[in-house]
Amino acid sequence: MTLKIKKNILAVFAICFLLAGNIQSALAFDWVDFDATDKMDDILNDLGVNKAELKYSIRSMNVSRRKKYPPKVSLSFNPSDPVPLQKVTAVATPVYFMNDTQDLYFTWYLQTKDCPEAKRGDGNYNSKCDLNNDTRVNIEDYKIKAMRIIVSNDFEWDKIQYDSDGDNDGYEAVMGGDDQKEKKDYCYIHEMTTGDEYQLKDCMHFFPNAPHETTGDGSFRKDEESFWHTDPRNDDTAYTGNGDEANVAGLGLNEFTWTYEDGDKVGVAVEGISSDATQESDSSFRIMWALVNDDCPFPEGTDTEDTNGDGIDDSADLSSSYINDTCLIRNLIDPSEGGGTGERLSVNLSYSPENPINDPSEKNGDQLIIRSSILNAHDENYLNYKWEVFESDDPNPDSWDVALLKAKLPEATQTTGLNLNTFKFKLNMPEIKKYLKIKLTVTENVSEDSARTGHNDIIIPITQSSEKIRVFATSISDDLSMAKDPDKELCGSESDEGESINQSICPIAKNSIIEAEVSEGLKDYLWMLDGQTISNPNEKDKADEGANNHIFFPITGDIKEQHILTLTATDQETGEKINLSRTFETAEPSVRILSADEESWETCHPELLGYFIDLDGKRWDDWSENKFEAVEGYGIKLKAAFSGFKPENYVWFVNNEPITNRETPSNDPYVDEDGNLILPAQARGYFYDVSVVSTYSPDYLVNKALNEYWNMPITQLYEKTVKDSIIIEVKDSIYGSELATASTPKNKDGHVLANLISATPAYLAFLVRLVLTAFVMLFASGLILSFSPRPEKE
Amino acid sequence: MSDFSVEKIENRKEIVITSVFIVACLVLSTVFPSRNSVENILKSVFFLVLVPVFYIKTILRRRINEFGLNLRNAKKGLLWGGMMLAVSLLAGYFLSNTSAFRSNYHMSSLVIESFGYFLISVLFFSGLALFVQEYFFRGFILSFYRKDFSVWATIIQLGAYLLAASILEISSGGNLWQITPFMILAATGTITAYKSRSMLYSWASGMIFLFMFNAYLIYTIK
Repeated sequence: MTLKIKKNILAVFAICFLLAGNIQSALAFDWVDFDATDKMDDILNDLGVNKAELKYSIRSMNVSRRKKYPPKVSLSFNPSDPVPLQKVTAVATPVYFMNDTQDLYFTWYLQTKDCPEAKRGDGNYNSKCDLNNDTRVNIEDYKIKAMRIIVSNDFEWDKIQYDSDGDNDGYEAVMGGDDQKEKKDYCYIHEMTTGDEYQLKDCMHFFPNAPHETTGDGSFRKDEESFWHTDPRNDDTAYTGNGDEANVAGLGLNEFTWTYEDGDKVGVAVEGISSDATQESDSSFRIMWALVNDDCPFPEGTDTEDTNGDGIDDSADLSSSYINDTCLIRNLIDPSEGGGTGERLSVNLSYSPENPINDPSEKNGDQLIIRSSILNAHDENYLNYKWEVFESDDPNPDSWDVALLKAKLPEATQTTGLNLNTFKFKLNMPEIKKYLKIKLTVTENVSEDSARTGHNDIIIPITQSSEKIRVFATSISDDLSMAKDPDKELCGSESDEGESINQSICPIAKNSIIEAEVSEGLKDYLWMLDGQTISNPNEKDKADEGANNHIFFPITGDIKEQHILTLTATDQETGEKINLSRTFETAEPSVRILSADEESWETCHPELLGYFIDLDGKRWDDWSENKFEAVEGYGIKLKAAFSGFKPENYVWFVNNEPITNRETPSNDPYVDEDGNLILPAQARGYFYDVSVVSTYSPDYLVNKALNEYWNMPITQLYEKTVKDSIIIEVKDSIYGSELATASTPKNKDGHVLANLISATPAYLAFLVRLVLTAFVMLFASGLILSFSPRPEKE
Repeated sequence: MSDFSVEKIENRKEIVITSVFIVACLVLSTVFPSRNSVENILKSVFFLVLVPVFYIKTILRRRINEFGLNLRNAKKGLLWGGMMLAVSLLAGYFLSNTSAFRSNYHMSSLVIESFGYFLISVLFFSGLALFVQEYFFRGFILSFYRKDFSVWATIIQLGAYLLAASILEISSGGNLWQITPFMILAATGTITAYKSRSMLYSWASGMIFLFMFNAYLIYTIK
């Protein structure tokens, strides 16, 4: 741009000069009255030159010298936000140098936390950091530390003797870069404020030197090899493609890798030639240095001089050593000061269900689950989470007030601690505002002194409703009309599956047709199953719009497959839109044997195996599924809890004998009118082997309805035998029951001996068995031996 | 039929019946149902000591002291007992230093940490177990077969012990290294018992070996 303007101006002047000459001769008789400025204006106008623009261009040209870009270097780190003891690579990117990167000299320097600048005698002087033993810890030591790491390349220098140098790795450095051989050296400094550039008094490299040695002098002998920890038998210990001495000089070494520790600072000085040539009559260019922060203030009061008489000071009474001694140390940067997103943890939140409903009656509210993901954590397992819940009637209030106490959140999971990437609680609160804000603050400890944090929050609208979707088994008549079986509610709080841990997923046996319904206080029903709208197949329901508070649908699909039934309706009273949902899972029909009720639990219940302790310190009992214990002298009452279906018939077995007895004798097992198994009291040490068996088999009408309404092939029958077995051991007392041994029930005649034996202490019975066995052995041996003839004794 | 042939038939029958009896005792001492360790000890003592004693007295109609429970031949007993003790200790030393014994032999930390528990373990529990084994194998079996098979009785007895111990250990999920000290004692105790005609000397030698060997192992661990 500068050259172009100059050319244009020169062209204009040339033209003007020529024209002026011609005009003068043509107007010779007007010579005395000639006005150059006016004539010039005329010429310029004739040429179409805008004088104002020309002035502007000339003003720019006048200051263009100061607008040059000096050589610069930027550092990037990989990883961008290192943690202690992690390998970090610093990459230097030089710009505005004429040289190629491979010809530049990169002098790296590394300052660690335990090596501050100090002199011997200072309190903070650390002799281990004084690598060149010059009684000072300064920039030279930092350069040695960094360049040693690069050039030694983890060579095991301490295991060899540096008694000879068998390689040829000397290197003669050239001022301004390796491609500047045979050129004269003119070193410059750029003053950032004015943009002026001054030639320095002298030129020197900033390479680190071994004591009494000079780097880049072409000689790299065993003393230097030893100092730099390089391999004396290998020209290129660092395998960079250059010799060891060239590597110490930093030739082309634009990357530096080291093990980062807290407090480390790194810098680099890049030596090369700028894009500006010198004004000498030779091929030289300006030799300059680039520093990371460009922080090299021109010292005040420095004398400057115009050496070529052009009116512009171009030389300063300043040595290159000023840059080395004063500026390098100002251009250190901390790799962990990435700032911005490198420091802050990025937190994302999501929640389910999509339309959470709170039940003020504290029974059937949704379980609200908030999930988090942290995108830029170093190790997600060591993140400290803090969950907070706020409420408000406005989605964007000025203030959300204080967070709700955990005690107010029913069945809330842990709110603070490590690795809590999910937070849950039940929406069974008697009072709750319209909106909840869930805030998550995450902290990651990077080192002893530093930590990264991040936070995010999510606003969740809450619907209040005591409504819930209830589910019933169905019965199908011969004309394929369906009706619910009101005695067979499935997955209700009072149903047999009340023992299941997660009632929100309702297990239904495969190929069942079930009925889902809500109360009649709603209108405008819209039922959807897995996102598809469904309607009642019943003819009469189709005609009766008000009947849409219930819906019949089948549960098919593979075992464990889940289906979500949603209902959108409007509350008739409040006009509020309500979204309800229920999740079903195609389940294998199953049965479990349980204590019939609370009272019978006291006399017989599963054996306690142990405890689980959660992170809150709460203890959870671990009950056996197939071993029960009962109290001696008390009857036992068991029920069969079916999952997924309600059977018509099922059979109890006790000690492999089917129980068909439905009367109430006192001493034999029998089945009561509710289908519960009643076992008589026994003495301690007695064992019952109890099992229950049933068959799940949808009848023909169900299959026909599935085929008629839902196009299921009628041949796809699904049958399964369900069974559960337990062993009950009768003891004198059982865990969790305050019942002690009751008096042994009076026995009928004929059971005296059995009761006598069963009442004896166990050890005594064991001894009796031992003795009896021994008696049998000895008797048998004696008997057999007695059959053989004995010799007559003399 | 001559007295001699009758005696021969009687003798063979006695050997067969007693062999079956021995197997029955061994089997019952393991498979007889028991619920805890006290009952396990009881049944071992019963089937391996008491029942054989009753068998000797009531069926074989012989004296108990003819089956190893005597202190006759004190000189031989002490001499062979001492020699076999030295052999056992040497074998134990080589076993612990040249094989994988150390890494597979388990000792209770209670025994290692407390000298009192160590004494109780060695003197009572190991001593009782050793007595039961010594009486049944080196006393009853060795003495019974010695009459008809002479020195081969040692092989029969030793073979029976090794087989029974290995089967029992493996079937209970343990490892054979755990019973190698007892296997050493089976071999050296057999010689002591055969020479001295008494299982008491082999038992005493075994007790001293168990004490010293376990003490040595604990010493090397600590």
